[in-house]
Amino acid sequence: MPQPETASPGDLSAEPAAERPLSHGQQRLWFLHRFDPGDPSYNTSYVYRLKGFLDKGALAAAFTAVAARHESLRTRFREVDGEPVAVVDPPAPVAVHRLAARDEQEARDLVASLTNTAFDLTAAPPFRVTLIELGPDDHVLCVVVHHINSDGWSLNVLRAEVAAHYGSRGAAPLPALPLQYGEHARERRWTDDDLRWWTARLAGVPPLDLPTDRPRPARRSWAGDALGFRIAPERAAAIAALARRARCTPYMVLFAAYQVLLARHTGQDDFCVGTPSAGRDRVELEPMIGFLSSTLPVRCDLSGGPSFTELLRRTRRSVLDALARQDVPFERLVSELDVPRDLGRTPVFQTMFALHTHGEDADPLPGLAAVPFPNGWHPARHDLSVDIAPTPDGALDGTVIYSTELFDRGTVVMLVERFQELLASAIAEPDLPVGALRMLPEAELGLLDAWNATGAELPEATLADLVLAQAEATPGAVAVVCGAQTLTYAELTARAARVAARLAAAGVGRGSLVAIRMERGPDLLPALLGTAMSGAAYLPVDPGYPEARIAYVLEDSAAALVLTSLDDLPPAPAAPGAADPPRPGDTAYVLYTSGSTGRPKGVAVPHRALVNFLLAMRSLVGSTPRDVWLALTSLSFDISALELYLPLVTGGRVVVADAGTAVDGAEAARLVRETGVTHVQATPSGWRVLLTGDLPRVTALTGGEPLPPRLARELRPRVERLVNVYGPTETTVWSTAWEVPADPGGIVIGRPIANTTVHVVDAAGETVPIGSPGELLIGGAGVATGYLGRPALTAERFVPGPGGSRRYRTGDRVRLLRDGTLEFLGRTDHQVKLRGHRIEPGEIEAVLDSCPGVRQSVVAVRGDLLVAYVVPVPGTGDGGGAGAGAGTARAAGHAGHAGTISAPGAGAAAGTGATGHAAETSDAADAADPYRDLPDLLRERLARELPGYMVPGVLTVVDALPLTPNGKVDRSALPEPPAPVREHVAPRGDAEELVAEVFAEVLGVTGIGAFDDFFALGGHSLSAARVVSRIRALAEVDVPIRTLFARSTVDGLAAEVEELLVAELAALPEEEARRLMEAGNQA
Amino acid sequence: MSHLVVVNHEEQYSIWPSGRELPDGWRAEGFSGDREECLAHIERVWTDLRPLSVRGAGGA
Repeated sequence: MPQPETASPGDLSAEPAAERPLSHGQQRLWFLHRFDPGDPSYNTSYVYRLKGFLDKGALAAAFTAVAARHESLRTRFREVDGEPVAVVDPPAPVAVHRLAARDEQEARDLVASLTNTAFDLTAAPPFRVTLIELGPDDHVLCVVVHHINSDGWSLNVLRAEVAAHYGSRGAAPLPALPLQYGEHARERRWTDDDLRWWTARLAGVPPLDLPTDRPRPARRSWAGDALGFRIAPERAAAIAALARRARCTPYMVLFAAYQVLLARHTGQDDFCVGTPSAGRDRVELEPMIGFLSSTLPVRCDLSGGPSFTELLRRTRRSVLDALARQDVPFERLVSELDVPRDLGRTPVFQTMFALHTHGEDADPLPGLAAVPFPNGWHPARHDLSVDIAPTPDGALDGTVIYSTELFDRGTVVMLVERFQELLASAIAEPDLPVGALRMLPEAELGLLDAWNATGAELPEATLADLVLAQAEATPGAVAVVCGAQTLTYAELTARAARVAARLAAAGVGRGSLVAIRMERGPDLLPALLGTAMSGAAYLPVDPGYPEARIAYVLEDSAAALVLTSLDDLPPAPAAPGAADPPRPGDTAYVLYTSGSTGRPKGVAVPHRALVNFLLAMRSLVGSTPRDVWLALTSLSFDISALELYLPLVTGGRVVVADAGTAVDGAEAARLVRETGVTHVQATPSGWRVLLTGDLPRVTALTGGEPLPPRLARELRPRVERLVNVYGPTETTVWSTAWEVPADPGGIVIGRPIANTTVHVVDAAGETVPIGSPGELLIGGAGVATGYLGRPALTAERFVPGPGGSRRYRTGDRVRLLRDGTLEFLGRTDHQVKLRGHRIEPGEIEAVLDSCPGVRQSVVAVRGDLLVAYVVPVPGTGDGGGAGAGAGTARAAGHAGHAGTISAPGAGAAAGTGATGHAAETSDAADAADPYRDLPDLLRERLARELPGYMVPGVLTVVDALPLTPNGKVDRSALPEPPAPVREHVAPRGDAEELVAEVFAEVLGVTGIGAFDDFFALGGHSLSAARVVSRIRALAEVDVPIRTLFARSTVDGLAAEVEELLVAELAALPEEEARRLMEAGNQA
Repeated sequence: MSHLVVVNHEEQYSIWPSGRELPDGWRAEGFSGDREECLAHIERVWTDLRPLSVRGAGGA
């Protein structure tokens, strides 16, 4: 930046600089400045375009005169022993920096670079006046002051006083100031009662969890952008009218609508929003420039489904209550509240809402035509901030500043549109419950409808109809391959017809249920199809299931017949009776599923749903007569219906694998190769097995559990096509599908298949906005009849949809992305709440799965402890791995590093249960265990990528995860984790001793151990600065304050200190380094 | 929250929060109460889970 041309500081007055203590607010901003010196998010500014003759000398004189009156414009900061001090410089001429711009755009860019550049608070008072010349009588004036010395009100004072002095070249007769900022800063204007009121009011407030476009970084930055919007004069007038009727202010109406917006995007009815207050409730404070404003954390309560009018009453109350105690410093509150330390979020509140009623000054410099000029400032102090100000034409101008780490611009655009829609509906129907207020704009509803426009022709047919039609078309084609045996279509249907006749002879027909408990073999398909042709439904019973479960299922279903082999049936009668074939509404099969609670229940799936599914998959996966499907999946898992029947309705063939082949990757791959299989379907766990073999390039379907991104990347290049499918048994096998692209980024479950609709709703059943999480409801032709013999459960899970239709409540949490695909987030009943945080174990698993050395992971909650079970990639854990060298003196089994390990058991087969030995770590175990470093390495990685509360307290390495018979992870069978060991270990080595000593000194506690955590011991952000300063003094090493936040235990910080010392040593000339080390050894 | 027992043209039962507009094709059956009461009522009265159109044809 060019040096100023005018008013360079000349003769300094003899008056010495004065030192003052910082106010609480200043201390917080000082801390934030130290934390990230490049952060411009606490700049404040005003910018005008000025037309007419501008007297530059008078302008500089005016700023100089105002700065001479106000200490705050002359205040810089420095640190003494870790404590910041405000240094007030004597009055001096203010420099007006001069820049030139060719056009308005260049002027805008210059202004934005000025407002978005951080000040060095130690170098000079953070106050910068810049004049940008566009033409001889055309200028842009840009004034930037750091918030530590200013606020919105201060800028008004500054502007008004500059205007007054401009005409008189700095000699305006302004009344003397009654008080300077530094004098005010010393005053304590609040009582302990006020503080107690606040801590009671805010205790336990959960963070606002807005749905984001990208994962929240473990450490937030100020990267942000701004989006403008405008509330039309008519709507602004209606807001004012509603405010009058409700005896509140327009601010409260806008604020209440904002709360509804947040609540309905997060599903939360309890959160905090920050709102500014001027802090100028005394006459002597009014003319002062300085940081007097504060941010009040207003706790929002939308519980119990209030009407908008009721919410206005609550808002009025909570805002007035907060204002009555506005002098309690926010930073005192934060330390008093003991909020969990989370560098990914701002403490207490994550969003701001403000209505600025003082507005812009119409006449900032007398004699010049002035219009406000965009300041281009957009760093995000929070996730989301909304600032609204009235305009002269009666409208309201709004600015949203959002974190670009979290949100795409398009998402924020939609958020603003919904805010406008909510305002309109709240004005029109303030007595409606806030959850029922219309929020989604017409365009968004249209988009949701378009994504659900999946209508396709669905013939009135049954499974038997489809297979018989195919047999008529290609009777001689091979339909089934099983070992050495093959069946043509004609043979298959003939055998099935005989089975149907024999069933009829046994008294089985429409309305009956036949339990099929057969091994996989050549008779399986004739039995299944024969049952269908008889009009009965089949109930698959896996012979491998425990007897107790088989007995339960047979009794619960009241099956007419249990077929273990075709020999169980009576011979076919010589003269079969008149056939009564099934209708599309009749049940095709009953499938027992276990819910997370309660006993297994039988889902009755009608032929119509099965036929729709098969035809939908036919068009999706493009099955042709040349296709060969591998039937690999247990019959008791409904996805087997795809493998068995889709080839038979398209003229292809099905290769039935026996049970042994299904769990042996090499064997399955060989079968695929030898029989020319083109299509394979498996769960992700199943694919892991298959990938161990030499698999030809097939069309691959994966479903039944979430597809880990890493598996997707591994699997995708090895197959022709990869389709990720999703669906509950209750809506017939698969309901959504997504073609996994060559280079998959985020994994989604795609869009609904034919004649299927998806709906994402909140707890009250209202459609949530695109991007927000909610429960998935599925409607359409795939919806099952219900649960066999369970009317209440059926009524509860199958809920009304339009046109007399029913939708199945999946219990799955999903969200719709802006491209119309669904993202699977987890089970509604897996989501856990720990210490006020809502935690989705799947998010943690996703990070773990992406770590090197991890094959698979599951995260669960035990008591109030988050536990991760990790299956290592075999052969990756050898002790010489990364990290072993650095931590020679490190034991693994302590609090904060509570790693437990197990020797990899030889030959532990998947599905036999987790075999983690989970021995507590000892040196002996260390020596034997190749994975001993894994928990520590994983913990470090998790700490980098996730907020602290999401890092599991226990990381257990197991050989395998327990699986359900269907090949999914069995969460209920996870082993009990070992208790984390919290033992006291004295500091070891110079660095740990140094850090422990500094912690003890700063915190005033004794007996600090190697694994004690600074923040757990009562440290906070201000004392953190003192730790850094003490370490600098004692060890002459500059530890960034962020490092203390990231590694706050004695051993963690000590390791960082050592690393910094080593780096410094390495930078020294060899001779000097050796001298220093020798000196150190003698000491 | 209070609920209604509702039924559609196929004589399939479900529950619905009272006060919210019922989707077309569904009518209130007459019973209302809390969620559990409504479900208990349905457990008593919904004796044939097959849709009406299937029952008429004598199927499953």
